[in-house]
Amino acid sequence: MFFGQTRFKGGEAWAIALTDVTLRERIILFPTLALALVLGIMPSLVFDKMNATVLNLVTLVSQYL
Amino acid sequence: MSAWLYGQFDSSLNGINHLQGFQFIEQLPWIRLDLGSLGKLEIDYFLGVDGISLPLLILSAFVMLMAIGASWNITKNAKGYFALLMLLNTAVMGIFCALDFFLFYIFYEVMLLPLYFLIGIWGGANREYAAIKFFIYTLFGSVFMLLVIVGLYFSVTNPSTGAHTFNMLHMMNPENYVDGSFFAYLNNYYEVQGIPARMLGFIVLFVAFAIKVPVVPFHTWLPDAHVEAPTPVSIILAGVLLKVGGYGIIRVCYSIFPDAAAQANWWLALLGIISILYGALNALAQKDLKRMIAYSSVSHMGFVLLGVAALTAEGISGAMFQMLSHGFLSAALFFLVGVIYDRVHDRYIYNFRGLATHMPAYTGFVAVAFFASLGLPGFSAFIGEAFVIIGTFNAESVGTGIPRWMAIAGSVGILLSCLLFSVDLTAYVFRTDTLQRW
Repeated sequence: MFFGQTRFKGGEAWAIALTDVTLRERIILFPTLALALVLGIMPSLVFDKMNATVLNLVTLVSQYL
Repeated sequence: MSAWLYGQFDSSLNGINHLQGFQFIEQLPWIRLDLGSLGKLEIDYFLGVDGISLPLLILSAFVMLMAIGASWNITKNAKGYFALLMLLNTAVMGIFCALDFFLFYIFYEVMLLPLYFLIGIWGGANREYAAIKFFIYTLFGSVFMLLVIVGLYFSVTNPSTGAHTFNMLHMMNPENYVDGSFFAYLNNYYEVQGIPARMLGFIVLFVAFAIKVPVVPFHTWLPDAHVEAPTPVSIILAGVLLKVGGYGIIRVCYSIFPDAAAQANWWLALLGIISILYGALNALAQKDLKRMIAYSSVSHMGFVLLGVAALTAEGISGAMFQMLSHGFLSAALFFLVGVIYDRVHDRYIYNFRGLATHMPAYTGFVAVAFFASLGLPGFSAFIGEAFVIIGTFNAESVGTGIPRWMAIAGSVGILLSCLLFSVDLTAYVFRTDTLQRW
């Protein structure tokens, strides 16, 4: 889909319509993907917040195992 | 607002089954009906946040913001559109906070309504079919859920007032169950077709949430709804609504029916594995980009179920993390498909070639999103999947009854999804037959 010779089904009309991402789209995409990277490097941002709850859930269920 | 919540959150408190563990509590009596000699009916407006709902609240605030950014090009009746979007937002936030089962159910139903209209009015060519299918599927699950809620209501009393209650926290404490009632822990002789009542309640609630997740036998509404929904609604569907299912399984199924959950977890893990593999294989075969991402969502949510069923701390943390990371990554992927669709109203993979030279920045974003979502180390999906696999491997030694081959099957699922995204990104260079299609 992304590599090779540029060819579109709609021909020239599509080539003109397919402009690159606009500023608005960049503003939305950039923080999202940055967040994926940040959480990938520092998962503790999330893990710390939920750890106590998760442990409590595990004890709650495991007494019935 | 949710960022403030993150800052204020005290991570040492532990929630789940007692009131002291919750934060930002808001409890107001809502409906108090005197039933004469039967006592009182108690329904509260009862909200609270703990470590499981907090990350999901932040996620939904973030994804909603993205969805509003993606709805820039909506021109058809914009006022109604944004009103429905806000209603949806309210309902989702409500679900993640509600601690009264009646209130939870109300938010759960309120969530369906705006989605039905958003898909049915602003959707693609086949929108009525997709909207109806979505609506019937979810309603089917939740109607049976209502029966279980009523059953729980008659089995549980509030220890301080003695009245029957819908309070979820009271439902989590075995001492509050009336002896010999339908869902009681002790002296419970109720059986339906040979299935003990508590197991039945667990299964019904699980099916209701499994339709939302979606777990494989109940997933067929998802690709249709995603393909027909407008881009922002796809973003919300994938980013937030699938998490309602996972959250429900943790908060409701596992906390209220822990005994049944402990017995059923082998089957849940099996369903998770089936979702992972079936979703990934199906995604490989798709020609429509949106449908492909929808099936890869099924595969990724299978990891959530597997992690929860592993019943180890790593597994459940991994499942939560996977929900978060899938939330904004699939939102980003749907947004990227929407970028192309906005421009040429077509999203068949074979109809495009050489986008990299034509739209370099776009291709860059797509490449990052694809690699992040297939679990490249350094991105969030990797952490989620890795922790689920670790938790599942560990489950055998802890004795939760999940055999190791399930963890291995999960790893195969990761491999398949790697294959999926890299095929998509590169293989069309070598395929000349695609050229003859048009």
